[in-house]
Amino acid sequence: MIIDIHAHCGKWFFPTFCEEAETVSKICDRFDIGRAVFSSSKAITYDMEAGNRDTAVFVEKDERFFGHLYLNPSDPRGSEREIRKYMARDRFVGVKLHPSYSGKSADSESTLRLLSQLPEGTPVLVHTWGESGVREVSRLAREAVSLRVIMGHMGGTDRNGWMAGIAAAAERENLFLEPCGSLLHRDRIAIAVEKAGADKLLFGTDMTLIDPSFSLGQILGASITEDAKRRILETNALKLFDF
Amino acid sequence: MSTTPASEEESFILDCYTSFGSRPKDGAGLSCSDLASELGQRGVDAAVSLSFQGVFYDYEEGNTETLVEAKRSDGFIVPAGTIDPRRFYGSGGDICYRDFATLRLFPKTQGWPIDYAPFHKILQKAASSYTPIMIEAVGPGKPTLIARAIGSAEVPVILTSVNYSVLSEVLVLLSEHENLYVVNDMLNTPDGIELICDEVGPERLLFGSNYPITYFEGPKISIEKAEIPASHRRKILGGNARRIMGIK
Repeated sequence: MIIDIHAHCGKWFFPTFCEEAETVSKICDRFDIGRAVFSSSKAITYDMEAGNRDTAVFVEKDERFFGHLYLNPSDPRGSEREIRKYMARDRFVGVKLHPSYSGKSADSESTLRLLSQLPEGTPVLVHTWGESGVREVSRLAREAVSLRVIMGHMGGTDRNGWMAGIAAAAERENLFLEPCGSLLHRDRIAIAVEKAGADKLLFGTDMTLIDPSFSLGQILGASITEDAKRRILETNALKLFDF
Repeated sequence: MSTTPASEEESFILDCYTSFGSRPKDGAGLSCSDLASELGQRGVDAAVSLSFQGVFYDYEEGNTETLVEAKRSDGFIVPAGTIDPRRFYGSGGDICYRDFATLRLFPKTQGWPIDYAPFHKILQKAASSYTPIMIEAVGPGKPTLIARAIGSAEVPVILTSVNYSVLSEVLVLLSEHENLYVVNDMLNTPDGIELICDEVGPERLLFGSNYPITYFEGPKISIEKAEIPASHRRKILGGNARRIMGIK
């Protein structure tokens, strides 16, 4: 079984037609994805409350589906209401932040204040791009020691970005890597395993924005042990998300 | 055109988008012999490739190296040529087009615009020798400019690095230009392969991994997992590239 901790439900601005739960279920069948954690594209790009509502409905459509609650630190009151509304529900297993859409950096005071309200051990997936993004998320992990902070995209596709992400994850116990993306340097997974350890990586696809083939391909094609691949694709997420 | 019998062609995997040599910026380079070995281990029957030397340093030296390595590879490496329009002006430094299966051009990597006189000159020469062009199509608007630059020339033009950000644009252009094709190296929407097959047919898609810059497995798995008939898959994995580039 594969566990995808970085998935999305909803529409995108380009021609892809995978918003129906049935279609996403078929994608999961195709790739042997046994659990997937979704955040709403509508929540990220347009309307947090409507999008989280969509996620709540979507995750009920398939027993393999779980939700990331999207929080917008630019709307702290609304975000606090969303935490109260959803975080106690079984199918919401983590939180998603996207600093470039919310306009608030991962280490802003409003972000830190908001996340202080989350239950201990909550996984927080943060879109993390470039060296500056890595610095901000590292500070978040340092300040919010009770949370499990996951760098979505591992710092991005530029070598300096993902190398910084790997170094940061190697330093902090509560900081993890999720390495999906578009143009993936063919050594990045082997380097991440060597420097940060296989236990620090979690598998994510970015579906339905990106085809799971590309993220799966970088794990299967990486020069790492079969045991490391299994940890990344499944075991680490089972532990981190308490599945 | 290929003279190989259809039954043999069906199982042939041709990776049409690979490279070899040094990459000083990101360390993703690989020697030609290692490239051939690694692709062979992954079930590839042949690979269209060129030396990075032609991209980053000097296209004439790079092309010479590509031809030498292709000859040494005993047919596994099919040579792709390149010209750097920042150096080329039409009179000197031309290449022997018939030596190469395709001419690869790198506007994004080399930083030149599509609306660029030397590029138009290269297109004319490639068209007159019917040498297929492979060109990076990175970012909204670039595929449209490339299609305009082609104009009515009947030479095949194969777009690489096509991702979700240009997909609608490329679908429109594919429907308008029968000589336009797409490599799947970055065709990364979950239903992108199905969408192109449905809209314009599987004949317009070519398998290319962009190895060793990125992982070989992603683009390959995306074709294996796509919900398309086996006949479509065979065309994409090798048949189309062989037909378009005249690879036997």
